[in-house]
Amino acid sequence: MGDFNRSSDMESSREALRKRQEALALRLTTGNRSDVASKNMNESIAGLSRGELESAAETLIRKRVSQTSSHLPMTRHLLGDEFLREFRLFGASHHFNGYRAHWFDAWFFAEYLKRQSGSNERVPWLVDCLKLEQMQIGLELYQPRFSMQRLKYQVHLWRYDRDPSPRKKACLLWSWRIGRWRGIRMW
Amino acid sequence: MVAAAEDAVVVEAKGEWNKLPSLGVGLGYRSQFRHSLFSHQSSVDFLEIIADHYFESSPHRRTELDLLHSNFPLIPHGLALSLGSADGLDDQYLKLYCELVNRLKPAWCSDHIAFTRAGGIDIGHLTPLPKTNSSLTVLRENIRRVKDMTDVPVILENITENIRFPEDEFSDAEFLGRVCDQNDIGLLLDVTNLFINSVNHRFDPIKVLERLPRDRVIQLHFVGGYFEDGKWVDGHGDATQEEIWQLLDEVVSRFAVHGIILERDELIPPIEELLLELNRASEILRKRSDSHG
Repeated sequence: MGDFNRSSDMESSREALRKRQEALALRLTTGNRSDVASKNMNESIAGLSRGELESAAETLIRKRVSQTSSHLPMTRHLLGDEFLREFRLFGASHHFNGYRAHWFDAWFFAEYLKRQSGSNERVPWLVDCLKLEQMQIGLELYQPRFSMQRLKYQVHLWRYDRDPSPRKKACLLWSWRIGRWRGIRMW
Repeated sequence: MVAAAEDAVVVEAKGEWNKLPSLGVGLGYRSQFRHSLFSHQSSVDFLEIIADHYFESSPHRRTELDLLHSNFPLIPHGLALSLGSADGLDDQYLKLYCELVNRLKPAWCSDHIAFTRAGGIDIGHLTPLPKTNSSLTVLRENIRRVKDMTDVPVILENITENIRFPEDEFSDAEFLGRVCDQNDIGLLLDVTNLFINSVNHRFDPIKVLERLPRDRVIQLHFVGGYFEDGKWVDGHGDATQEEIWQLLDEVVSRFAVHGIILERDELIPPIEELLLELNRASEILRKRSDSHG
């Protein structure tokens, strides 16, 4: 009887831990969004410091921003502080699983920005930069053998800080991967 | 240099921790300094690679891994085994992690005392566990699964704890000690994380060191953090602060450490700056070797 009680206690404390972890994961990845916060979730994280939870959620979003910036360095440079503001909006409703989540974050954030910035007057070549950087991410993420994009401006990989106003010149961007060899070229 | 890759022997994880090779002082590998790394190869004893970057890797990544493996002793460091997850381990991640470890045959492999996944959600960040018996049970079951799939010794890292749990039953040191003892694993002591936790949660880090199992502190991590809004943050993007150097010195004087890694992830400076920090860590390690004969 004693063994049964001990085993039952262990099961219930494990279940409590599982619920607490699930609620914590939800709280950290979705913030305070009322559409996902449930009574059960709020009960399962009861007793935890609100300030610590907010700080942990902020750490998480900053980590995602940092990882996404490393995959979209030109876009980060062009948008400055707007990059973080836009990512906060994007990050609240998009979350990816798996060890390649940071690549998916970057790919879909680029998609999101392309929709948002279709007519960005301050940086009209932003969409072209996004296409270029997305092509690089695509090489890592989807491993296409060949892909092509049409650009309105002549943007340069890694030269965005020295050449802030690319020439308007229609060109084609293409990438390839054959075995270990890969590359991106512009015409 | 301290140990070549061929000297690294795989020790079965049966308490023979002192037989692990001494790898010296090295870097957490980041592809940003790949080219400059090879022009300073003799200054770096070993590399720690992020295991996740080489799962199902592209031909480009495989070439990179082969190049690193043929030039440095490598230690694979996992980010998302999620050993503290009450849901259990992700079978696919476990398989990929162990395949990589078994292929590289490193002196040891590592991950964290944390959970990163719950209820089907990948948090994408190391999240602390309550220091309770139920966390110890979950860790025991999950670590056993890893050890069933590899003979390479496992060491686990302490994380920065931005959330503390009211239900904690053990102190930091007691919990770390129990995790090591109950599972026959080693400790990857992140000195920066210990420093940050001790300041943010107001405890004496030396008291933690006094209670850790003496033969289990196998590897160290260190890097600078930053202070913001009244708290230290492990940004992994700053030069190591003097307080952290002092704690590192204290740790090295107390434990027979087998390897030290500078773990710089953000705002990576020219490699010469990183090498200055490695030299200082090497000096600390050498001083300990001299004093212990």
